[in-house]
Amino acid sequence: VNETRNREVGEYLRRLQRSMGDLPPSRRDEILAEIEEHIAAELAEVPEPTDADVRNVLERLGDPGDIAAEARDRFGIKPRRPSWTDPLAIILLLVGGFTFVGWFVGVVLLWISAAWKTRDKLIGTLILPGGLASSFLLLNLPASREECLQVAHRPSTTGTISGSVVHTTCVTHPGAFGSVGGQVFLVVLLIAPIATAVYLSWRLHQTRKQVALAS
Amino acid sequence: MCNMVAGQDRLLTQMRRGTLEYCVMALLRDEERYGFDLVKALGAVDGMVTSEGTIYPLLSRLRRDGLVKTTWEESPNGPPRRYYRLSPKGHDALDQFVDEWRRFRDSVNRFVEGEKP
Repeated sequence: VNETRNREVGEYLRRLQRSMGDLPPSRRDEILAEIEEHIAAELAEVPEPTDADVRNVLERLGDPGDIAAEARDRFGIKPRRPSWTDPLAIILLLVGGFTFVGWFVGVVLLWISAAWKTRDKLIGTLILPGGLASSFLLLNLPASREECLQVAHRPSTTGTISGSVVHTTCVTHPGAFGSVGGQVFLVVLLIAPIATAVYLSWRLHQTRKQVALAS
Repeated sequence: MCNMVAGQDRLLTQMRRGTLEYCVMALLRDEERYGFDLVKALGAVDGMVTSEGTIYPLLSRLRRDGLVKTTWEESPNGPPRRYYRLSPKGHDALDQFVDEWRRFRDSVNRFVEGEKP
């Protein structure tokens, strides 16, 4: 009995935790702890709880999805809902910049989507504006710049030769990406949009799993 | 219940939902209570709560809004328990609701029960 009880209660609590996956962690943990305590208090009232008693307690508590929906409602959190435009948003954010407007379309799709949290949307927008197109644009900046100065000297002391001597002085200015730090920065620039796309895909996958669980 | 006018079911659910938090606060008006007791007290009244578990998100919300305060207290058996009590802000909110509720209840009754004012 004890084993069945632990398994069923554990399963219930896990389902509840997953259903509340989009809630702020502190609130989720609070509700979860309270319900865990509720189950313990309920079972403590029965001297020898049977499997049926356990199931009864969980049934009275209600479906984890309903509790999560109630929590969302009480805290004014919109339920996350994936849409077919979500993968499109990820692709456009990554490579849409090559067609210029593509990236902006991606941003719009990202922000109207109900699949990501605001934090995810900020990451998607800011790392990196323009996506890979911006990375390539920055890659094509010259690594260094050479500046030459021509100075004409007229030898005045001798005065015998009418010609003049031309000196050319060249200075090399290191470019933005000439230094080692700059090189590292370049690599980061290239990886950042890809990492963001991977991150957004992972978050989308989580949302889909959660929605599948709630329905 | 199948003959209910469309939307009536929703209205009743909304009314229950809207008043539930004040029922919780009223239960805490004179004494502090353990979450479990609170849920049991609400569940014992017919038609107030369908799933006991949905009370906990409400309690969490009331706590965030500062309407109830919680304290941890030792329990005779097991880990310490969270006790809820009404805060001064909660008392004000409840008093205000009770005034409004009485007015509203009397107004509706005047029509539906045919009561004389």
